[in-house]
Amino acid sequence: MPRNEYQADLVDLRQDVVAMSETVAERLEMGLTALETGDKELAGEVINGDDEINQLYLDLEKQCTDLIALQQPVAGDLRFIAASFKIITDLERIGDLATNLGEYAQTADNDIFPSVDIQKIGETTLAMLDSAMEAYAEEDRELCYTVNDRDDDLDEECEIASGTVVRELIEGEQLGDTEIEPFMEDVSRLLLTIRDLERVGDHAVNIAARALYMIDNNDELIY
Amino acid sequence: MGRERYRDRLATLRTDIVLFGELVVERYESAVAAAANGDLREADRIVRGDDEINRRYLELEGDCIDLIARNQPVAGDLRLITASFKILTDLERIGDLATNLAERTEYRSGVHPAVDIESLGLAAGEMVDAAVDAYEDDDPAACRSVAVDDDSLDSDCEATTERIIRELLAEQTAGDSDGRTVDTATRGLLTVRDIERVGDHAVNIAARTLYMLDTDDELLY
Repeated sequence: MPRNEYQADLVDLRQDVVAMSETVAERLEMGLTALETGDKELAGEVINGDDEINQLYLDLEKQCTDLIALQQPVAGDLRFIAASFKIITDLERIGDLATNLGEYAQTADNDIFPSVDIQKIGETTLAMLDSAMEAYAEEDRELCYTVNDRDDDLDEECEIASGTVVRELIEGEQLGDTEIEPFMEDVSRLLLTIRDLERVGDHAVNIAARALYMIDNNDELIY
Repeated sequence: MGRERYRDRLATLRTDIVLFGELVVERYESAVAAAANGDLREADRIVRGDDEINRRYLELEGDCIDLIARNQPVAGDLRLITASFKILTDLERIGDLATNLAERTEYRSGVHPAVDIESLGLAAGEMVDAAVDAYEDDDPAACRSVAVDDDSLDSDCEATTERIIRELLAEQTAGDSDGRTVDTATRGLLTVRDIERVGDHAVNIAARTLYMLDTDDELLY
């Protein structure tokens, strides 16, 4: 492969990874909206769309290994391809978590505790994903650290939300026997929702950590 | 690199990943025991050992990339190397989860009474073991059985979460709630979440192994 074609392939790879992240972010947003509005059709769209993300993921993985094998890239190029290779795994997992949100939206009433603001937590995760991808696309090391710091806030928000659920359970009105079972379902789903959003944040940090390793060979955020 | 040397390096890579898997499982099982027994000394050892796991992780990742770049592997070899590359990430995360359990350990105190940490925790550990064995032995049936085990781990985790919630509702009736109840419940919920996540990583490892063996992506997502 001529040199300029190789350079063009690198540019393509970056664009394709960014495009995948946009698809994933869109699904996450749809999942959150479905939770908020109880729109079961929208929830179904998120669930059905997961196949597309999975396919995208395997295609990109192949692009990465082909580039490494055929071009034997070194230094910066190699770090870029290896980073892309890792980042797509995180994106695929965020896609899975968006699918989970779709499933919760189909099965549960997610508004049992209005004091738990799932949408706000969701917005934080979306912003983190966006910054992490910008850090990768623009090679912005500062932004990598920003995402990492943001995750501490997110973890705290999630912990407060779980604590609120626990407190509401203790302090809430007592339930009759027939009300308990559906309520338990809803509470479990809500706790899972919080857990999954926290996990989206972890994946955003993984992306930022990989981006930093790619930019500066700096592994300080990787673990 | 000569052909023979290349084959050696592939075999070494696989052995190294298996050893790394064993190291991570050992840490994780110790973390479960420490959390169950309230053993702070052991917990501290696990937290401090995470650096070693992280270092080894990046080294092995470098080995994978180096093998791809130098040998342009195709088909089965390439799948072995990419599987190894991805499995490493899962193993490193299991190490992180062991650290989480260790950090949440409280002096001479177990986890929430509704959480049977030894049984849940060890079930997840055995899944990781089984997944790493499947990778070592090229065993597709073992990959699928890890996925099956994960369904029962998930339902055990869900049942445990429900028990915590039920106890909170009972607490409410008794009217003796305080900050401690909330902390213990939150800690219990986080512990269950981490164990369930260990199971997910075991499935990822099994899924990658199956993809490596049969180009079968049924478990991959």
